[in-house]
Amino acid sequence: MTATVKVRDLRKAYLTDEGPVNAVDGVSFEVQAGECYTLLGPSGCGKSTTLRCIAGLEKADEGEITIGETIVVSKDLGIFVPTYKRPIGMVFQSYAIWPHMSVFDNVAFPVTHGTGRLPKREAHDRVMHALSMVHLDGLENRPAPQLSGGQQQRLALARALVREPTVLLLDEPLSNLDAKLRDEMRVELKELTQRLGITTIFVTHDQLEALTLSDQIAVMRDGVIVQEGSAEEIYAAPNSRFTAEFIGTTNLLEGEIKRVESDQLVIGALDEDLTCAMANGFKVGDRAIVAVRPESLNVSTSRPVGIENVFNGVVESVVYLGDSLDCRIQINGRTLRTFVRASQRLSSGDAVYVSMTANECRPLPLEEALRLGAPILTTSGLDGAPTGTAEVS
Amino acid sequence: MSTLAMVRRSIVRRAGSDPLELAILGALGIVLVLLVLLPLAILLFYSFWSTGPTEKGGSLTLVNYTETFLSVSTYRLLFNTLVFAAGSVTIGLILGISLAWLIERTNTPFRNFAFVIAIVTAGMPPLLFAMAWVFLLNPRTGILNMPFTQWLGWEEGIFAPYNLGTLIVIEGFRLTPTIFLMIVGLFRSMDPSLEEASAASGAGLFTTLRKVTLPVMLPGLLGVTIFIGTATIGIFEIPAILGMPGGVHVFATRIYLALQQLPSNYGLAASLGTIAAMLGLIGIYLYHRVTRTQQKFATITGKGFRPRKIDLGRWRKAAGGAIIVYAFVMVAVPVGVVFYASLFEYYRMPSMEAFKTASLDSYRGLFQEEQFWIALKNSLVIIMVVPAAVMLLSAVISWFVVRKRGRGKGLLDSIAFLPFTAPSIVFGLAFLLIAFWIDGILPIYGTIWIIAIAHISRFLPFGTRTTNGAMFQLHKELEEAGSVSGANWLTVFRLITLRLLAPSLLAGWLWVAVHSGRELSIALLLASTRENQILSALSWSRWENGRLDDAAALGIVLMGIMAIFIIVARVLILKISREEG
Repeated sequence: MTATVKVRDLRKAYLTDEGPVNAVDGVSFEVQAGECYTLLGPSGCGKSTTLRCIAGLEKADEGEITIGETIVVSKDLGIFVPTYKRPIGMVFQSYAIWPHMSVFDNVAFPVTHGTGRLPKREAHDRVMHALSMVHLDGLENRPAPQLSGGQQQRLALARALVREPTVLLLDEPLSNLDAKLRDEMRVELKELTQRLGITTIFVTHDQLEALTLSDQIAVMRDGVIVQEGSAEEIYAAPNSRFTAEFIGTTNLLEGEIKRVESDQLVIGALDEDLTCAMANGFKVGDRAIVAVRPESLNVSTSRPVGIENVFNGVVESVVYLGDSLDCRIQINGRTLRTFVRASQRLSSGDAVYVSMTANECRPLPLEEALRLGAPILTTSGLDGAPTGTAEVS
Repeated sequence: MSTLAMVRRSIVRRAGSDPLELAILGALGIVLVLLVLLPLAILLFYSFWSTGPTEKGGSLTLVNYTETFLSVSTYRLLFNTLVFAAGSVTIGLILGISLAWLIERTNTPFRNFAFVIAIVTAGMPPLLFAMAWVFLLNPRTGILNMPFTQWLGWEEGIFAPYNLGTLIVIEGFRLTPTIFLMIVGLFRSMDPSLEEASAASGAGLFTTLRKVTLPVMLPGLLGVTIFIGTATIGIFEIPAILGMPGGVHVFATRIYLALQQLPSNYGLAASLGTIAAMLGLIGIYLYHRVTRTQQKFATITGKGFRPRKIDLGRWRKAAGGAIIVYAFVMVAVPVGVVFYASLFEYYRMPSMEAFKTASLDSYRGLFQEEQFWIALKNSLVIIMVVPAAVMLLSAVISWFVVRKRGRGKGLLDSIAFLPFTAPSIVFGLAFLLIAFWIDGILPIYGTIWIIAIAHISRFLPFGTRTTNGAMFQLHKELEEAGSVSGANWLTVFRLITLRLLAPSLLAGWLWVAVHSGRELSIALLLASTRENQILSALSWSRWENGRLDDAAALGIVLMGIMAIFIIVARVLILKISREEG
């Protein structure tokens, strides 16, 4: 009941008033059976279009999509399986709950009017089972518009699951919920997909949702996948400035490569030598960016030992966050952001030592600044993704 | 058929590719070609052809146009038509805007009552309205002239119906409810804070109205003006009843006369029809330009405001009085007068002796006539079939126009809007010409179906206006959710799209039902036999034959049917929209 999904060299262009735009520009990936795979990126990066191509709601210009053993899209073979014949369930950003139907009728639609029509009794049982799965049992006779936002979300999920699809497609399903409900639904969604073991493809611009829900994440930008990996890999080892900035909060330091050692790089940053983790493709004299997560910075009043990089800094500002302090620390004229435990009692003007291990300093190739005049210190938070401690807690 | 191929190719390339969807698109293309392009093409053809459809032979010629353009009477006709349209729309706008403002933005009494009046008058056959004014204004026998003819003993009273000025005023009255219904939404959806800001700047009531309210609504008003103006160019009933006896002609009546004469001058009618359609095309062009900028006009939003009602103070009673007078002039007087006229075999001015001879004999007589029942049945067929077909066709067209990308959709939309250009009588003519052509293959000439088909074509633009708007409002994910549930195109369209559009479809259905039921000029040319008469055409022919009592009685019967339809449909619409909260 679960299947792998393969997408190969998918391309899709739109005609707009300003000419054609390549919404998806050669995307390939493979989702293992039972895995939760996330397409993550800012709006306009092509993630939704990719998902809609898998659903058959958009017709790809080029490429091939396979669900299980079946080729559903192949430009070369001239295959296009219409949406309603694909073994999928989908939850939309707007939920798309049909307002003229009851809760029951909404969920029953796929098994009474879809391709896999069931006998009445069986359909009824299946609908009730789906409703209980999302904790909506007892509400089946309600008119659908009377449900709350969270309930509508569950209803949409039940409707997507009731025909027991082999692939579940989720298009920003949590973005219309308020923050607290979103936290709850995120956990519930994870439990449910894991329990069902269903192959899930999830589209979101919210990095926290991506990090918590996914087995694999593909970070997308301008119609291409810029990095693919597990949540840990994406977070700990971003391969580009874009990924580093888009996911979590990052301090970015620019400098020139001074030495390439056996397992480390030494980069002239912060007017001193910064020892970084080894990365391929760099040679002495190249300019590079070093990404350091705020939580990788260690702040102390006595000089730490056994850490590669130790700098003298002055606390510039401190914001009290209850359980922690959001600190900006100046090192040789540059400001770095970090979070320290509230018990450290720092205040602005304090002289401190800032240290970081080489492993947590990630050198990245220099690329054009994402945003005009982007400062070295960058706090990501595109598209209203939560910022601050929530991202790194 | 190359247009069809173009539409298909450009849409197909991008379509979501349900084979069913493609088949439906293809069928739709064929239907539109037959329903819209073919009649207009045939009209154009005969305007360049030397003989009519009943004669053999003929050749290409420009003579129809040279005769038309070299004749002084054509320019008179053009002048009359434009003055008639401009004048009546101006009067309609002044009255309609005043009424909309009073009802939506002030605390005048009888607000709901005025709405009911507007909706009821929408169902009033124009023929009935025109007849009423003849009974009122006739120089010798008109009720309004009675003080002069009866009491002062004059030969004729001061009111004279058969001139351009009267035509303009009467048509202006008749347009008022339609204009009111079209613009009342503009008033409702305007952000009241714009007016409040003006008031807070120290501007008085009328300064605010003049400097803020009207300018903000200008694009919307302009759209309505052009729309109604274009439609008025083709109006037949009022000029036919009030203009023709006085020798005042507009396009529609002149075309009618060209076909009435023996032998019928098809070439002249076709060339006049083509010119009228060209005027309509200009209208459409302007309408599209204006409504396009209107969408960019951000101040008027779709949000449901509850605008603050202006307190009229001591003017409140006067406003209430005006609404009562309006209702009186628009409904009570015309219906009353026509009903009165239906009570006498020979028309008599109101007096004590006259009332003694009043009887319902004309109704009894009608009910015994087989012809009446045929016409009634045919009218009901029209009211049932035409709106259903128009709205279904419109919904499908709008689905492709709104949901699909590509250049073809603009073409599709334009073709569906094309019938709006031509006056109804021109449609009657075009379908008459078609009927001659295809009589051997499809003998629908002389049946009710040729009238029904011409009506469907005629009212298609009104259907697609409604459904385009509604389809835009319908989030496409609601339909996509159906597809990903495994339902095919037809199932999704039937169970989700149509069902969710139901309130709009019903509203459009009602609009088309009312206009189709009261429509006269198409049937005038196509109701050629006993078997395909409809009530409006029957009423007209009785009027022409001097059977004023029958004509009046038929007008009252038709009005009654319309009223029942309107009430039933509105209750249904209310019920549906309430269910969906």
